[in-house]
Amino acid sequence: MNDLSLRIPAKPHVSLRVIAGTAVCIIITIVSCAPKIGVGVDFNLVARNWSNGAVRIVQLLHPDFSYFPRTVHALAETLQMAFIATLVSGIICIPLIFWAAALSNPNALGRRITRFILDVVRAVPDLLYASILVAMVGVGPLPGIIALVLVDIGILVKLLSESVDAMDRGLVEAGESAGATRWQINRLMLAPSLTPTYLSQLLYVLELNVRASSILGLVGAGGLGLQIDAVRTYYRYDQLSLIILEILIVVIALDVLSAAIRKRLL
Amino acid sequence: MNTSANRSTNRIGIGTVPPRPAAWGQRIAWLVITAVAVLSFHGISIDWSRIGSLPAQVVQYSILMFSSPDWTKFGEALHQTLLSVEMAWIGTVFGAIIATPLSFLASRGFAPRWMTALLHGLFSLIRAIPEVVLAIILLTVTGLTPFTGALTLVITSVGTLGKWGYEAVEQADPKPIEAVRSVGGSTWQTLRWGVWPDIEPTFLSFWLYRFEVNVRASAVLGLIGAGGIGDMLSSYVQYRQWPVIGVLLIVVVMVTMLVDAASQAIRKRIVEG
Amino acid sequence: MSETTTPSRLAQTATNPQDAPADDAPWGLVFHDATVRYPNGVVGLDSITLQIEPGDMVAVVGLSGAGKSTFIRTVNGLVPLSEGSVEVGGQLISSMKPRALRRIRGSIGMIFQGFNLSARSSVMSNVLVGRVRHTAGWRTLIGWYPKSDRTIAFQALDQVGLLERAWTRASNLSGGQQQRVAIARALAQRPRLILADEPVASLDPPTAASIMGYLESINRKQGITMLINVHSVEIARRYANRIIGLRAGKLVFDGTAEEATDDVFAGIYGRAPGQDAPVGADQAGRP
Repeated sequence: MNDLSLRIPAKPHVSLRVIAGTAVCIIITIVSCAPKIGVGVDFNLVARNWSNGAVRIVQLLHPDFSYFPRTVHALAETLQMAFIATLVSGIICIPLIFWAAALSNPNALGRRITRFILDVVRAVPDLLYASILVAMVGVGPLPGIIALVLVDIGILVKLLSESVDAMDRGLVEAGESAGATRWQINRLMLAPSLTPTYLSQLLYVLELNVRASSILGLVGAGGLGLQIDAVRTYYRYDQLSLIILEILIVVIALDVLSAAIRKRLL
Repeated sequence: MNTSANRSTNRIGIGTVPPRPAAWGQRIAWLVITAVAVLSFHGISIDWSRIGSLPAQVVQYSILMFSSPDWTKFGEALHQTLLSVEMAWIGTVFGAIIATPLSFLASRGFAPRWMTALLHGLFSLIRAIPEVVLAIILLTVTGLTPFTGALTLVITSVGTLGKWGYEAVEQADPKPIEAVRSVGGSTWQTLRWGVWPDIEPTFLSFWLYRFEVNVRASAVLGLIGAGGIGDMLSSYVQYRQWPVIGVLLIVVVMVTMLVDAASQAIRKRIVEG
Repeated sequence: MSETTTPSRLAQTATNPQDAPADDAPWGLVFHDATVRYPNGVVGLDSITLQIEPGDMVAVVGLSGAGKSTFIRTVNGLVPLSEGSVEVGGQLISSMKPRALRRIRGSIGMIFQGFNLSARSSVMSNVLVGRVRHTAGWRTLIGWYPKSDRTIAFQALDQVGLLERAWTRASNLSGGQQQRVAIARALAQRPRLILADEPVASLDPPTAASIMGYLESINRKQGITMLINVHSVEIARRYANRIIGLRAGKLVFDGTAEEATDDVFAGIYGRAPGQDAPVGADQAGRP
């Protein structure tokens, strides 16, 4: 019954890389949680402030519906900002997409410059842009829209230029062999195949914009955020609760709508 | 539109030219888009006359920010940015630790229907709330601290990672799952030996991507007072100290691009095995 | 808008004085020492010198990787020459500036193995791509082609028997139909020369025969010069009146279809036609 005479190959050790990687992750996490050098995770704080917070939570659970009429204008402005930003970025991104893709722009230097600038633009989050733009051009929806457009262009060009690069080179060749210019090739051979992806990404950006534009007002850039800031200052958490409810309904409604549209597109 | 004129034979030896079908779907789509565009611009309080001077303004402020940046603030800016990155890290690590088991529990075919429905709802609820709003709620309990920021990011990360997670589990290759089931494996054994090997790289790259998102989000959370680079930026913006703002922007862009590059390099290695 | 094309209008606009110059005779080709070296050092084409008469139907044969695709693409400058020259209709391609090159490409039709149609566009839009060189650029970008271009496109579609499908989405057609649309696109250019790169390699035999039939009749009826890459011996012999054999970028055969015996093909392919295993020892290293 002794079949241990089988030559069992040694079980390979868990690779050193995995162990080292895990160890590094654990150390970074411990450092990050530590006070002073890190974030300072402190659950005692939660315990101490709990009674304070509990009152607010109770308020949050009782939204003040009578506040609704005063939010309508801000809500509309939020949606307007999101739509305008989507439209504007949807137009501006088109030439940039074709500049950033290798298939439609054989000039490697021009491509690299375009991509680098967009990487830089994408590195700054919307609210940061908005807070700086408010200081530049003043309070209102305009700085909010510009902030959204900047972020949107970064996202759209990155995702869509990748789709262009995944297309068949033969399409470009067919255009070239008919004597078409770059613009003609992009418009006639590449753009038609890009359209469904383009529209679907535009919907995605619209969803992001609605979510983002509802908070841009916190730094003065128009929309519901201005009101969030106001009710927060007066500790009117019942009113904050209503605003959150409105955002939730709008975001989820848009989610459902865009899912339905997307299904028809593809 | 006269059909007989469309379907005409003619002298140049051409057959019948079919009438072009009307693209009603397209027309309606354009109509809706135009209507939405008109409504968007209707009554919005933007002073359009200011648009013309905008480019000049941007150039002017860019010169203020970047012509002579105040480098004495560089050290502090870097320190605050690292604090933001730490928030993002905590958000990602604990978000992943909580989301991974939840995403298995949310996968159809592995958990009871009521459980998956409940978790799907929870994930979409979290994703629908903007981070900043969540932070405002949380800070009633935890105060204006970086801890609030980190906690916010943990919760929002659970929302996205949970959703991506169950989608990946549901799309996992069914063959190894059948193999483990066929030898009598329990649900948890099936997940561990049938599903996990297939989706492990996908999950790792989700975590990395979420980290990139969190780095940006953590800077935003600072703006409402949760500490880090956003906090620093908001105070200098308040006093219009453009040379410092310039430095802060440079640091944010630098660190974010560095994190993106590192995460993409790691992801590439994961994908290649 | 729908096509409200009355017969008289069609007839009137069929001959546009601007794009029908006095001389629309087919073009001949002159290769002199044509050599292509790719950046990775691979020699795609090795000093080819030959001449093709206007109105000729020429098949280029050889194994895949023998340089057929490179050869055909030097004619319209899709692949630039490293050395030597190519003359198309008496014009030197190799030294042309992009603008002049695009103009000459406007008169050279090209057909591909993969059809290379814009899949989501209508058949008509695809055929109108053949008019890009002949119409104001802004019109092509917004899709507002003049009536004369539309007439030419309809005629081209009629010639390949697809007029009824003008408004169908290209991706809804079969492979053979898609290739016919591609032929119509080339015809819409009013070409003086048509290049075809493995036009039937992705099609089943009956469809392939029909496509080759269309090309043959275009050559016979309109006298357009044709240069066709094929790997099938039978097709080359049946449709071409001249056959050019390439092997490793070198010209190894040039003669009439009658002269292209089985032995000749054995030399080009390194094996007899219809036989799978290579006969030449020098073929051993080929993948």
